[in-house]
Amino acid sequence: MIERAVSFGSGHALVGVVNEPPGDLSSDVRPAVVFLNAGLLNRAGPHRMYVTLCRALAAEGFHCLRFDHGGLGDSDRRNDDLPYAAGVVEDAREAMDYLAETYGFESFVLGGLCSGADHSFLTACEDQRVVGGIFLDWYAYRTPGYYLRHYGPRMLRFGPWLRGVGRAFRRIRRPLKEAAQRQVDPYAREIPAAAEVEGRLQALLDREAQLLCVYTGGQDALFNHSTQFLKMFPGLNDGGRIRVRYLPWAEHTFPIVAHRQELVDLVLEWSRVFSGEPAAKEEPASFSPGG
Amino acid sequence: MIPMYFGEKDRPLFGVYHHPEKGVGAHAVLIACPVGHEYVRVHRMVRNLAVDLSRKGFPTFRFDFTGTGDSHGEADQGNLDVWRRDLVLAAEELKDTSGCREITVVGIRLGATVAAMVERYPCPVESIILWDPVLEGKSHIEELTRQHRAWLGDPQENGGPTELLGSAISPVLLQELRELTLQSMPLTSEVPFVLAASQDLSQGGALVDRLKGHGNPIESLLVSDKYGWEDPQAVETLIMAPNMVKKLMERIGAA
Repeated sequence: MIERAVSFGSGHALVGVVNEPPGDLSSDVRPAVVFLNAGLLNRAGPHRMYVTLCRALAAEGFHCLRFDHGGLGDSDRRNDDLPYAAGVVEDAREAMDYLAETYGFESFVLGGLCSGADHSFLTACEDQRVVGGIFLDWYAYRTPGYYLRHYGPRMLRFGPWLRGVGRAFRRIRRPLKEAAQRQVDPYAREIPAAAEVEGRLQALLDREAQLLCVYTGGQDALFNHSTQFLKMFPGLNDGGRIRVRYLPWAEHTFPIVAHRQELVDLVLEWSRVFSGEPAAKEEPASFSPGG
Repeated sequence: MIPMYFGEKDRPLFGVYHHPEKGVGAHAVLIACPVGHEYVRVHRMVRNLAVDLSRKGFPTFRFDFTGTGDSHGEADQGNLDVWRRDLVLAAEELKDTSGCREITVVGIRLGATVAAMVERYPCPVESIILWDPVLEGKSHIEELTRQHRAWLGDPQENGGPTELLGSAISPVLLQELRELTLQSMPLTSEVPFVLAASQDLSQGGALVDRLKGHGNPIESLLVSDKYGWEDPQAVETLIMAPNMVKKLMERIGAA
């Protein structure tokens, strides 16, 4: 496997690293994989997660690119007036353009953690070249089943009632504080309404994109069971092209080495769908009240 | 700005070379980053520092040690010995790429420790700037363990942690750190040092005494900031350190 340091985009402002698989594994069947920044972290990803994923995928025959969006990591800021959200989509498209021009790729998988997942999704919605997504701790929406699983056990304990009263007061102030912060922080994570996401997700699936959605225990404020995913989008016809995994023991950034390896194994297993094997559906649920 | 891989073919290191935007670049700057989670905390700041230095006319090179960032190897393949070799390779790359006549080495945290321990650099060294160096390895492990425990639970396994704050740690590095003390660590000879200390550094005075005793000229840059290197609440916060960066620019510019 070869790693190449690259710069591309307008004015070569975007910096990244390409993993080229060994010659005997290189294939023009598999899409190239591109990882997008998680939050403000550089292209190596949290605890070098993207480095590990790129190297593992390259060992399986995938060309991979991890790069820094404009203004993050090693990359220069964009020199246009695009708002941040639009700018990251353009950066991702420039990454795909670079791989297309340099290696001849016509199809891509985009992936990332948190905002990296969000931006992968947004780019996929706008660019037909995207045939797959690896969404780690992506958008999540509470469902009735979430509340039942979250609060049910707590209703039987006295202490949480008292703490809940205090939290209720703080919760009244929080939306106002967060709204104010969003007005000044271009990097704040915007989560669209579920109905809007469902419509866009359906369009992705209708063009036969394959998706891997992994949620961790770090998202437990919003997500707490693997079956919750399809309940979040009740009208979705996934056609068997979404694999959902819930790893409640893993923290949001996968700081534990064994959990990170578990994630790598998951991604590698899922990636075989691009070798012609069908993607499995989400795991059968154990008892899941509500949804 | 030129991102590149350099060094040995089977153990490539990632680095970024910033060419000088004015002047002939006879005096270059080599930046040795921290490792582990501290690397992430300072990454953008280091990049911006390198850009600013290059704008002032200094060829600047920053790189990732083995097992960090985009360089080869897993985290547990890195140790002080390996990293000293990496730093020498980076200095050679900087010398060859820029044609410089002398370098200033800026080391941050464990990067500073490694920079201070290089026996001989491949080119004349104007000074080695140590920004909050790790001086007592045993207490450093204890602090990382404390932060890990506060965030993720007990990392202890069979007599020593195998991972800390997201990075695997090798028994070799653990042993090196356990043996690392201010009084016993080898020091680069016949080179001026600069201690760049925040309020986080507790042994600055002792370091100055040790360096003077070793025959190294030493000066100090002090800032009143705290970066929370050992604060469990600050593990995932980014550091931009404008005051320290300003002092570094002034010191290097005056050299």
